[in-house]
Amino acid sequence: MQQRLWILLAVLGAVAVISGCQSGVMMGPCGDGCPEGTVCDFETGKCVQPRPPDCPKDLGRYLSVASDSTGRTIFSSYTTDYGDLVVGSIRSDSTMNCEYVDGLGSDVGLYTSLAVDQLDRPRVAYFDRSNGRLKYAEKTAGGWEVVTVPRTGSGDNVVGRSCSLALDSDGLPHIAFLDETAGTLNVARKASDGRWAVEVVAGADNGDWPGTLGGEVGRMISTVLDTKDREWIAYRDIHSKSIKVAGRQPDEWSIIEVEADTDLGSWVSAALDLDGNMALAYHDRDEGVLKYAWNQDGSLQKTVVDTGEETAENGAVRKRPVGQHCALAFGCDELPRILYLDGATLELKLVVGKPDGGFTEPEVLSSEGAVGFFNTLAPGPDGLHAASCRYERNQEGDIQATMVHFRLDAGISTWRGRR
Amino acid sequence: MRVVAAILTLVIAGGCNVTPLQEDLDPASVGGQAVEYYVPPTSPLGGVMSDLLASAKADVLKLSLPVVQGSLGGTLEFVTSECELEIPVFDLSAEVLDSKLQIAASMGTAEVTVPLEVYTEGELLRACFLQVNAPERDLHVQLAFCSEPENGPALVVDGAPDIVGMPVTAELDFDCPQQPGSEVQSVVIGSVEDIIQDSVLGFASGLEEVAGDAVGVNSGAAGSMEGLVDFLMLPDSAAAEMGAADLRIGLLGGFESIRAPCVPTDAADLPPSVEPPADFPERVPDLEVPYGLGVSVSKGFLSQGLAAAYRGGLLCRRAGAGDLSDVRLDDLFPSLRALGSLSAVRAAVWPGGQPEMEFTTPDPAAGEDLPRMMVTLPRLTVDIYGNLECTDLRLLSVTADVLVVLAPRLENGSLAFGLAEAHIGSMDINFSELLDESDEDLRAGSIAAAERVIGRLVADMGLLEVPRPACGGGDLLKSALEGGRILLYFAP
Repeated sequence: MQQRLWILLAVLGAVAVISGCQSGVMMGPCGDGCPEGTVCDFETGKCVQPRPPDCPKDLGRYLSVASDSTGRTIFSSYTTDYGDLVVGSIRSDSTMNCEYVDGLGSDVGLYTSLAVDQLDRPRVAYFDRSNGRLKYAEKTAGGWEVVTVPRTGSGDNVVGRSCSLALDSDGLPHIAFLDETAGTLNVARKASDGRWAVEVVAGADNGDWPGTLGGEVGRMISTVLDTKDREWIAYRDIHSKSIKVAGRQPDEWSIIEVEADTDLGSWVSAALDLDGNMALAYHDRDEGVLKYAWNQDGSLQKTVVDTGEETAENGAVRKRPVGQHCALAFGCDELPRILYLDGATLELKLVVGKPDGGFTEPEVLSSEGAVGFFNTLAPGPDGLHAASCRYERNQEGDIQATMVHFRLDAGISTWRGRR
Repeated sequence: MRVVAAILTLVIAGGCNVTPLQEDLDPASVGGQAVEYYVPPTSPLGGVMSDLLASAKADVLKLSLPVVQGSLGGTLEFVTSECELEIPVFDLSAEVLDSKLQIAASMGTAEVTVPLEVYTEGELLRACFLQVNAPERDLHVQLAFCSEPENGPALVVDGAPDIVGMPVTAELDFDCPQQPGSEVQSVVIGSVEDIIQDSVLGFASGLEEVAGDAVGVNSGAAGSMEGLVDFLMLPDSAAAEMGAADLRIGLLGGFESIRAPCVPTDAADLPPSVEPPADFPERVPDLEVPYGLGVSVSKGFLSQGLAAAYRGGLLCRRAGAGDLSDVRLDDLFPSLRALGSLSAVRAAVWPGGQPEMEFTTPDPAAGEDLPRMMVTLPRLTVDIYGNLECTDLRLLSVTADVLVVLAPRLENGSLAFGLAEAHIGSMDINFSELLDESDEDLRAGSIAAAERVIGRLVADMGLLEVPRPACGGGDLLKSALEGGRILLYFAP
């Protein structure tokens, strides 16, 4: 009897946190009930593990952060504990609370991209790996509303990997993502009436595309909106392996090639400076370096921020791959900050732009464990909110992700940056 | 390892795809007798040269007979038409005799029917034909070394070529009108003889080039390997000589480099090391068939190349150089499986001290016929990366004294390398953050992982084309290590 009561409570608890679980407790979907330690997911009719009231042990993969107007850090992440999308916040005492937004019965929550609207409500774009779909969740007064973004073209296309979300001045989402079956970069926009429109941005005419990316692909898309709510999408062209920027003009897309003819890595991060100029940080896998490109009076400028070189005791200069998992944001001092992974030391590093256009020497922000994965940066009223993923082994020897977060001093708070 | 292959390519070949140098190396870096070509009395140079001529479609003399005109006696005049005459060259023989390369060839009979028009007082009277016959002749040409110190040795025609045979004849149609005083035969025959003479002289001059290709006079190279190591290997005027029945050419050779940032600051180029040339005439290899070419390579020259390659950074490899196919690590380090599906292992390699090279005899049981190369790489650091979800992560870094034993082999004229052995000693593990093995397992796994990576790097070196002087274009018959040199005997 006690066991049945526990299961019932667990079910109720799960229903409370699951978006879209509108139905009440009823007989049928899970037959005669679920085995001990599991609860019935009424959406799928499957018995699933109940989610705990606190954050999962594994947290920090596919991380994205934003700040609300009070300076509170909001984050979204994928957890391998349950294959869920988790959204949470960091309290003033650095403890965290989490909500299991989506994932009962399916593997969802990869490539989370988080934004907070002007009413401080979190919105998240993410990938549903079980069904190969792009999903979008937004928190409302009634709880989480989760939708699967409609597909265009073939109904079987796998869409949504590497999605990147930006909110326009009306708080409506613009999501850039990959249609990996078609080999295209797409953008989905939600109108004020709730309908979605999907547009192909680039890559539609490549007949050699094999129809798959072959697995997870890093963050190869990063989207910002300018003051006219036009999308500017920095992305890795999966056909040419180059880095490009697509800008939405009134009648067409303008495509700017930032780096061509090189096997660049899969890590790109874009941001607007305080004057609305686009900049991007990206990793060059061939050279193993972190690069930075920016718009200076309409002219594309590029520089190598970190060459990855270090000098050994014998005087030899050795190179190591740096710049993966990069994240770019501007502080209120108008200077860029870039977080990134040192692939050799597995440290989280930070470089800060200088007024003369250069960058500071790389600073190790964290070296505890293997840290520096899925880095994310977001401006807030009291500095830049930074978070990263650390991999550690748990007692069972499994790799477990832990979210680590920082607050970076970023000049005087003026909150001019677009969230 | 790639460097060693490139060096051997140069050595055996005298040629590879290189960027020509604009400037010569510092003379202090260049030594004599780096490589030696030896053409024994048994080398079938005639056959080799015939093949070269045939492949160049130069074994037939193609003569163009010009328009000639003259008198047929009285008021009759003739004008011939242009036509072609082909004279085949066969039975070419060549041998070194008394410090000269003696070449003999037969030139086949050639016949041609020359159209001819007969005029009288400017009016065409009729058309006739003249039957021209050039009987078989024998050609004798003698080549000798003409050493111009600044240009290297060259084989040049020594004295006038000797042409022996019956004269050209010409027969006019029996009913073609001609009158006393006709000069048609003499004019046409004279013209044909002149053309044949010119053509034979040209052919004899062409033999200089063909003979040079056959014996290696035209070999050698100078250039830069990937812009990091400059090299030079050229025939030496002072070391080209023909004996009573054999021929040898010594090649100058040297390497230079500028220290690359990736190597220690104490890295230094080596001076050229010059060993005496091999005394091929005194060394009669135990072979079932005559050999066409002997090559000897100075070990000091190879060591100089290895040192320059090290100093120039050719032994360095950064992780971004590319994926290593088929290298697994999770069987050596089971704890990696917890990370997920690792793909695309990459490796960075950083030499930490001057490498050294030695040679040992091949293992015939393993099908080896070239000397093994033992390359010692002190304090070599190998960083091994795995790719996890589009992220290159360093999994392991070790520094060790590494001995690599390479087994070079020739495959269809190209040089390939196999890894015969790899020994890892005095190993320090610098980094293993993501591994969870015990110290003992970590150490054993690290040695095996380093061996796998080195093996893959050797295997990925690929084939290197090895052109040789044509008289040694056949299989490698035998190799030997004698004194400070590697001796290679090639079939023609």
